[in-house]
Amino acid sequence: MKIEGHTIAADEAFAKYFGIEDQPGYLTPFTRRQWPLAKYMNGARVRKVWQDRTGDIHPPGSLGTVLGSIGALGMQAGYFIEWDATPHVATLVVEDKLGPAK
Amino acid sequence: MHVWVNSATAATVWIETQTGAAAWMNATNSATATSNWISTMGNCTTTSTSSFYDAQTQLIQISSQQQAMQMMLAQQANGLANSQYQNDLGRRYDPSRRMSAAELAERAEVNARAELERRERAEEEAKKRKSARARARELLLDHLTDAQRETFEKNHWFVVEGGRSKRRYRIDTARGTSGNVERLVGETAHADERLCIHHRPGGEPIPDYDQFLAQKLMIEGDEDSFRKIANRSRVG
Repeated sequence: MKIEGHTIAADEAFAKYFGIEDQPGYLTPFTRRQWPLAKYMNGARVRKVWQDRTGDIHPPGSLGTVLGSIGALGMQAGYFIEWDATPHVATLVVEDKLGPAK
Repeated sequence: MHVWVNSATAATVWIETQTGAAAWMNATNSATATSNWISTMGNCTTTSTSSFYDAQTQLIQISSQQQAMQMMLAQQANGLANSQYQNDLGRRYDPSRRMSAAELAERAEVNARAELERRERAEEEAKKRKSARARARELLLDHLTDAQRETFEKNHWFVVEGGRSKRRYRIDTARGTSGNVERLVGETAHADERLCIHHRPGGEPIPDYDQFLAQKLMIEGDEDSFRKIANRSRVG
């Protein structure tokens, strides 16, 4: 795994484990799998309800669509969201930051 | 804040997180939900994928110097993400942008089609796995003697004789492929040692019955290597 030039081993394993792969029509890879305990189903419309103090690029109130979700027992789910502001890009967002669109 | 994470496969995952890359790197920081999420994920998956253990260990070992560098990179991430997006789509990022009804319908159709394809692929794979499992079971049964087949059908285990030592090994097929081989004491059913050895060709899973057959053949054909490679633990 590379974070801006820094390499960490096992990102490939991470991607494989969660089924994260390139998807036609999208600039970034993500998984279309659905975490069984996910609060928001694939295809659900969601709204950003909370952001970190330092500020996320998508402010609260932003709307998006759930493309897939990942997780493990004892932790909150992570969702791949296609924000309206950035179509064709899937962004991984933790459940805390999301609420239903309506 | 957006940070993209490039993997060895040149893939790019965008993560919306508090301090960008720093949250990924700082596995010991449990102050935020995001870093909790990442570090907990490492812990939860260590039992499933050994490479996660490596990743988790590496995350914890990251030095403060590297963390400082990640913080700096995280500060640049917004700008970088913006220019990346601009380059890829030929327009600037606008956080207040809303999709039109037509655009939403088009995206929904694309995603519904992809979801359908994904389900079909998953069903196809499940069928293949089921068929491979059945064939592997048949193959194992072909290699068992009548006595071994009887205990396998009745008790889900069978006994194999070591090729060199002539000691008896019990291969338990009801407890998966980890630590399922026991070395028995004499002609009794008591075990004095448990052995853990299984094969992962290219990291791909193979049917359990193939694993049991490989264990059987190796005990009979190359007992020394079997014992050398296996993780061994005393029983009782």
